[in-house]
Amino acid sequence: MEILRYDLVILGSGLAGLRAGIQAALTSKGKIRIAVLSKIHAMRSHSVAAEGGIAGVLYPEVTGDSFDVHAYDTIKGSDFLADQDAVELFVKLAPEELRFLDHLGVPWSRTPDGRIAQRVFGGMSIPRTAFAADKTGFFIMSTLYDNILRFDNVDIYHDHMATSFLMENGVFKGFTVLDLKEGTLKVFLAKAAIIASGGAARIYGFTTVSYAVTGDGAAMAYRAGIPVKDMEFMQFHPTGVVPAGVLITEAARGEGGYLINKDGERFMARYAPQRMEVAPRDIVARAIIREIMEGRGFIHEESGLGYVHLDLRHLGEEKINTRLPFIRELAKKLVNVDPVYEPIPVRPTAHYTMGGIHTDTYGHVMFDAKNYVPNLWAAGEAAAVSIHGANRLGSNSLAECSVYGRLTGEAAAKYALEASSSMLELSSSLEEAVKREEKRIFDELFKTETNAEDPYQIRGELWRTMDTYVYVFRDEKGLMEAGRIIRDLKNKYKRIRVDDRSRKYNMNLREAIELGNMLDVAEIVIVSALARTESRGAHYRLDYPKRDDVNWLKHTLAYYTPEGPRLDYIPVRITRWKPEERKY
Amino acid sequence: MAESSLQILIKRVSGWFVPIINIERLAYLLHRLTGLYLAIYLPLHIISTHNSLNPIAWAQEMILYGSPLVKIGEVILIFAIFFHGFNGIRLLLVEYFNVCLPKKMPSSLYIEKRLSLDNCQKTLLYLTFVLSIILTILGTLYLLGLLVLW
Amino acid sequence: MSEKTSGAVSKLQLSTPEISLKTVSKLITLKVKRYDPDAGRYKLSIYRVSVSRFDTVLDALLKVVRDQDHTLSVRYSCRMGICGSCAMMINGVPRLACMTNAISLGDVIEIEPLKNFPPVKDLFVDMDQMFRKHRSVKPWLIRGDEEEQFTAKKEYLQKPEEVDTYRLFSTCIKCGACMAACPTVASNPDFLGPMVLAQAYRWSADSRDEGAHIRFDIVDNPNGVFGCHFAGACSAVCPKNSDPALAIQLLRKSILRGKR
Repeated sequence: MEILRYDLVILGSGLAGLRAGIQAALTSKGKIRIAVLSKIHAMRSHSVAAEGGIAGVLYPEVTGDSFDVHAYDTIKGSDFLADQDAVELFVKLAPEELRFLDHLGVPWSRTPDGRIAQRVFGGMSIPRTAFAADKTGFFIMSTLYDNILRFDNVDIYHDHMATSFLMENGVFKGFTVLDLKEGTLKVFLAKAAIIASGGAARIYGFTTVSYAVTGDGAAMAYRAGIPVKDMEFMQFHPTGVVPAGVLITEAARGEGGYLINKDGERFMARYAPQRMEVAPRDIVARAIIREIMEGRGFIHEESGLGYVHLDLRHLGEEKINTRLPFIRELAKKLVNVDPVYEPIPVRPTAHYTMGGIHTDTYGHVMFDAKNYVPNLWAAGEAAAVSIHGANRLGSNSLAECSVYGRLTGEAAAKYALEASSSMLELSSSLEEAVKREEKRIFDELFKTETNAEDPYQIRGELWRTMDTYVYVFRDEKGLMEAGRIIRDLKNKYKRIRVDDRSRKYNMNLREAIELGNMLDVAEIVIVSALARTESRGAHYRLDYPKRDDVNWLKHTLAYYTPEGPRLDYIPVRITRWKPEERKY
Repeated sequence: MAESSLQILIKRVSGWFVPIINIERLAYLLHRLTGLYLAIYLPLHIISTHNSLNPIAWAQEMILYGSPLVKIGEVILIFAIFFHGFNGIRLLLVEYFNVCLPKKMPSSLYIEKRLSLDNCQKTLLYLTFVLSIILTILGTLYLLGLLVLW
Repeated sequence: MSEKTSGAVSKLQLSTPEISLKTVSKLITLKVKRYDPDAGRYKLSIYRVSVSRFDTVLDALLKVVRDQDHTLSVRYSCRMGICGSCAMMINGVPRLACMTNAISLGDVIEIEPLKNFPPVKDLFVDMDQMFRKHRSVKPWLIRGDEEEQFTAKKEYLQKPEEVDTYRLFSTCIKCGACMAACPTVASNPDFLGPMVLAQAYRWSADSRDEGAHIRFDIVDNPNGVFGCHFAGACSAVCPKNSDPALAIQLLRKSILRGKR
């Protein structure tokens, strides 16, 4: 059993993880050893698929923008569930991140005089979304990956999947990691760690995210006794292409695209008359589903999915080619539709996890409102600070990943510089935990010859259940049915069989482990959604359609118990903006 | 397992023959083969013309050169000279002078053609093939005595 | 066609593809050449799978994994042509499986692991050497004053025309298809390769960069830029049309003329 000791281990190599790695390397000036773990190749993290842009108040003197306006937009967009002190910190640091990324070499789209261009985006009252064509996430990821190579004290471990947290008396000590290339279990002991493992939107079948976004970090933290916050808030991006589910960026609407129903009308006029198509995503998603429900949507003949049209024809070929080239390529290659001549079929698609591991304003992981988990930080989509509250505004996520990558990277590196090497001891209780984990993976998942379940069937059931009952509109009956099905699937999961017995690159084993994580996350989502008897942001209950600030202005914390998630609540931190009615 | 030089050589040369996807790749292969052919031909030619000082050896050589195999080899030689020469000029123009490559990169990222391949470079390539073949045919006719050059 | 607004949630949303109305689907054959690491050689697995009009080769492979053979290992992630994981040889041409339509390729599709990379298992190949070569050309922004670079107070100004000179080459997703198509990479394992040289040019041509001469020194040898003889196969197969051949010719001109 290989034991690796590092000063800082970063779990996940997306935007937040790589930004944390770079900041940690800069802060420590080469004095600490940093490991970045990724269960796929580091360059393939799902951050590359982000398209629209990254928000920041860059030129307040030109656009009339200010930190207060950005903060207010974010808080109003979050349906007043965001922690306002964290939002104020976030908006102050976002423009510095844009400049830092420019200094690393990101090819921002520019204005004719050479400054960084910014465009209109959903929920933002003033254009503040910087972008690089329509592949912003890809260019930033590519630049961060290229730049992290310049540091000799950063080791990147590709194809290394963490399977559990090693905790000792409530103190974080390290990870057990499955080396997918060789098929062996390794132990990574660390003085400090940053969880940047991404969201969990793959619990849905119709989703914009890649197959690797399975909520591993959140599930592992949950099983280790760390609470997971606000998981009932799953964002549904309004424009996912039908039938593939691939993302059509919000920038398409920001550049002036229209959403049209079967009768040819721009139906957003009835739901958000002021902002129209660039209202926040939860409002647009609900509008589209209402239109489909009331019969004014189209039906896709092959998959049976309802959809509406995203019309970009009036933008003209040149604007589409300059501002939205990737969208044109995707629409043509995946659904044989050229946006210059035809409208694109779109429908709300599971996209982002507002919830995640509970952290404080600076990214330090906490057990509850007061107690910290020593040695552990979380950043990016995996964490819930919470900046996005009940609904995220577009282009705030890339900014959050960058800002919190920086904050946690710096804090963790400073902590690791001071911490002593005696922390990297493998005590006997930890060895026991490692042995148990080894047994769980290699013996229990590989066993069961007879009466075994097929993990792929279970995954298909999970996807169907989540897509049907835990979608944009939810109600008590549907959620209870979903909860029953998920509990049944979790029982079945105990009896699955992994057919592939080889050691190297065993995708069957990896997907079986991911399925376990997905089932845990799905259970938390359903239980949290069932408990929250109000509608706020992305969580809309047909039986409780109003927002209830008296009883529900609080965050949901879900803790692990063998019988299922136990829920607790902590209040939202309000500083300057009192909750008000959310109209666009 | 250490590889012998022969194994390495075979591996290197077999790399030229990976599946051909575009026509420039074919030109690459022919350029290397014709280059190899010329590189083998030139020393042999020097050695053979050295024998012009010795009448008996020269007569023997002339008989050898009458055989059909050598004649075919001469036709291939003509193609090799013309193709390698014209292709070499095309490569010099594109690689050093960057002829036919875009002077200004496009401002849109929606690219439907390969900027390096789908331009007048293709014309130059077709010209290379066509000229080489035509001149090889003319050269063969000359060898067969069917064509008289003034 | 209208639906009632009351009733169970499941009726309202029609969200999952249980019902297939009028699907155009076809039964095709996949001939997958897989590498067996225990036996040390390739073996051929033949599968028959039903694909619809929009299914990609990756969708077909995942259907095979799900329904027929759990042991088939395929590298994939984003399924939208941006992560670069699923590059493989499809009917002899290196392509991204997730952006290749299956039905248009005919009745039989031949799939092999990516050429010019050492195979590890099934369709997985080892890309470590390519990424090591990539790191060796210093693919980052080199500035004289590093202290200033990392404590950004003001952004670097860059006109849109200046961005255009290198932006096409920064769309490279590092999938390895160009390395599989290049005959020089096939014959010379020390050759840096089209992806690496294109990235060397991308960073050298960036107007914010000050380290072009350092990179030129690294690539100015027979295993660098001068190993390329413009076979153009790299640009012919690049799934993002990122044109590495163009980058290499521009790089060559810059080196020969002694300036960026």
